[in-house]
Amino acid sequence: MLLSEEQVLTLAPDEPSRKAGKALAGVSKWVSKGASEQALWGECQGSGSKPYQTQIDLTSTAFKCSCPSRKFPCKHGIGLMLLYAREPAIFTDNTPPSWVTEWLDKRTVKETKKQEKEDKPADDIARDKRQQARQQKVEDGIYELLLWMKDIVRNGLLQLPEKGSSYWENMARRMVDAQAPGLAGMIRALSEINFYGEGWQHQFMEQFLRIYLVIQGFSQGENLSPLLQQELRSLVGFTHSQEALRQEAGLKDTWLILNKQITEEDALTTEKYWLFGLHSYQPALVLQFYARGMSRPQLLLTPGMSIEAALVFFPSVIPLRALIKEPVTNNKLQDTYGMTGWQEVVTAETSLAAQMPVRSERPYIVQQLTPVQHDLKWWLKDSNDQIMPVKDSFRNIWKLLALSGGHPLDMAVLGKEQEYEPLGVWHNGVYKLL
Amino acid sequence: MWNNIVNTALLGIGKKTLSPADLPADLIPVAESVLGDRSLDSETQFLHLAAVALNYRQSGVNAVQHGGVPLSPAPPEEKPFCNTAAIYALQDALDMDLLPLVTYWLEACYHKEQIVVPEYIPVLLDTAVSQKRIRHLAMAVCGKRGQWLSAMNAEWQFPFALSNEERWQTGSAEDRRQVLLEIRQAYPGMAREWLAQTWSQENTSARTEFLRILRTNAGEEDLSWLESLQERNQKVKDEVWTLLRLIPESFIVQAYWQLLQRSVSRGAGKALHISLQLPLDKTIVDSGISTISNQKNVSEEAHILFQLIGNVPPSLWESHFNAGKEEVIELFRQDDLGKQFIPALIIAANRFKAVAWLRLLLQDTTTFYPEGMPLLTAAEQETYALSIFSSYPQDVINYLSNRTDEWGLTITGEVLKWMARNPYQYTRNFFDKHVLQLPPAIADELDKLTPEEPAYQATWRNTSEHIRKLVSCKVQITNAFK
Repeated sequence: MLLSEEQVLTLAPDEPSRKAGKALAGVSKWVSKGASEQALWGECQGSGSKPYQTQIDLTSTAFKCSCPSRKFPCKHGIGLMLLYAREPAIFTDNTPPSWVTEWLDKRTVKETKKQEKEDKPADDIARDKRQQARQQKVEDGIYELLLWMKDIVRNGLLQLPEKGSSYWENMARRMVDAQAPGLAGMIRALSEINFYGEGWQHQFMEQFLRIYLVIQGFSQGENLSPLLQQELRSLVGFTHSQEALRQEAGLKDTWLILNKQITEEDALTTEKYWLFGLHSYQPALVLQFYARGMSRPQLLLTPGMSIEAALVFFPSVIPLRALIKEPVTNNKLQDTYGMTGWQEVVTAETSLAAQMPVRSERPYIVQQLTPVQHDLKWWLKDSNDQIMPVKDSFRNIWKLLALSGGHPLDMAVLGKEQEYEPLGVWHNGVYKLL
Repeated sequence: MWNNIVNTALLGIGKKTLSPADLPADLIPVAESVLGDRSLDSETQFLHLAAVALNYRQSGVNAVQHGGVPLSPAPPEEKPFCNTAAIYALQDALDMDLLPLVTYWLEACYHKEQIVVPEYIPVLLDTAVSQKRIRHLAMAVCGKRGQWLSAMNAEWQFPFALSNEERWQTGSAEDRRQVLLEIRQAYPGMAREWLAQTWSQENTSARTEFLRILRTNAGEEDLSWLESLQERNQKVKDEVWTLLRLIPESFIVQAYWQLLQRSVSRGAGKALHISLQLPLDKTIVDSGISTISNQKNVSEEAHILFQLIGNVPPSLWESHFNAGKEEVIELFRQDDLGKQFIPALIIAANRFKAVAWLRLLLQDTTTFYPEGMPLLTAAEQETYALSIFSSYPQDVINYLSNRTDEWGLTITGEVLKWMARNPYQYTRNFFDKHVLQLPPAIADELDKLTPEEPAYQATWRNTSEHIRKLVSCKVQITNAFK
């Protein structure tokens, strides 16, 4: 699969790797190079006596290199792929050498072993016992959390800006002790609100009430549908076995990779891939976590491309977060159905809110949106003259405007309620990332 | 509704409670049910109602109906877009953060009458914000879409659309300097007239700066205005004198020549008779001729004569001695004192653009005279530079660095060979700045320039790698716009 230069660069783990990779995208750097339908390989003369052997599995975008770099993919992988993107014709050798075929074979064996491991039955009784004990701990924790929340509403929010960080952190830690890390995270989000910024009260109340809705819902237990129960348990902090999830039947589709967002905290990198089903119109969020220098991401998806894959969704009444069942194959991102305007988006949003009031933002594809300025803010106008604000934090407004030139574009946006952030646009038939 | 909830929460329900009237009509039955439930404490009642209100709010979001948002679309482009290879090259130049390469790219795109694809407009205009010199180019290659965008972004509203005259009359100091320089190069008389019109309003520093620009293409037409200036400030006065000394017809050059005619004459055979009558006329001293020698082995007389010879056209000596150029040079070279004035003749040849004189003077010389170089063709400059490079490596490098055109392969090879053996003086920064002067063919020669000293070899390998990367980007740009 031939990726564009921009798409290859999105695979780089950081800016220095991107630059170093570009520097290696020259013919002179490679002692040998070749490509087959399945793989791409090359030998790059580095500072060592032997050239580094770089290989890329093109079907599922996996990298391997004999260099000592801890970055993944390393600059050699990026460089080789960039060279291939620029000049595929010079990759005239189509027979993989033994070091490439061995690696590809090993990958197949590993995949089979993984499958076998997933097939092993778990010890259900012991697990149930652990779950019951944990349930009790969580319920005790929630009781304390509720008292704390009632104190806040009784005494008023006005005193909150004066509270030190320990006020929030103590309760978050209490939730961690109670084995409810999801609630701990929601409480920490309260402490991150800028109490000196305009409108903090609104932000605070929204997050505060989300916590309240989760614990109320969780306490309802079996009165709710099994799916909703599972989703609430996830929000509280109960995890799902990803291995078990993988065994479920997935939703097969062509998935458009609309964009990737990366955040780093305490050396833990979180990658959020926003996907959209070409035929199912189902949005999906694929999350990936890894510690830089310690572990490698399992999955390399290229924003601006699409994959043929089956996705398994985490249990939810409004499914969004998903796992990708391997194998995946890359393709060009195609044009897809988009909603006709904001009315369709808000109707969908209302329907989602009715099913699950506590939810995160999700991607939509909307036809013919034009960026416009109104009241000193940027908005997106649809073909029915309805306008919706662009998130203040959106940084690529000028790139969007440059692409639009005041003309409407089909656009992938991410958001909820009344703020959306553009993820990419179809410009002259080509999907451009923002 | 939502504000009522937030306001109640702000004060605390110990002070203020929610009532059904605080909620919309749709929620009144819910409110009555919650508030009527005596089993719930007041905090729970508030949290219940607030949670319902939150969901009510988020389920009722609508887009704003607003047909009147004015945004006229960008006009269609008149020029074709550059190709993908050009975009890759631009991205490389931007990634390396090298302004010379970005500028080179902009120039190539501009001369090919092409424009950049829309998504690169913001990054180019952002670069132009801090780099005034590329603003005009950046705006041109950003096409109609760039103009349309810049109208919406205050930072990108460069005064590119102004005419030269408007720039001169209303522009910033740097802008005015730039426009005067451009005009002086193309229309010397017009530049002088513009300056004469605004002269009385200019401050001292602007006057000095603008007069310095008039050094380019200074000529007889400037004389009457220059001689009419009544300046008090010494810096401005010095600059006026500098200009007058550039014009052979000026009274001061004529005065110098009269003095020289009296002081230097042909003696018997090939000897010169050199004798300066002191003290000097006050006007000559005022014009900037210093009377005190700053070198022990140079007499005051020689010091003054050196300056005078450097300020008169060398062709005057031909009629004075009734001899050809070669013979005149020979006369000076043969004389013990006269040979000290050879550099002054070089200065004069350069000052009065006497190319034939310059070529003869630089022939067979083993001394480096950078002031003589600009009049020669690039090839002549490099031949001369090569001949004296081993004695003046850094002076030659400094001179070449100030040139804007591409260096020849031979001199570049010599220069890099020397740099490879002096790795701490010329680092990557030097090559970043001077990438445009490096000829692309040098990339294949770099390995041959590896120094013999083992200690320097690794550094040179890295430097070579860097040079290859830079040159490769330059070649990509050139090829993309072929």
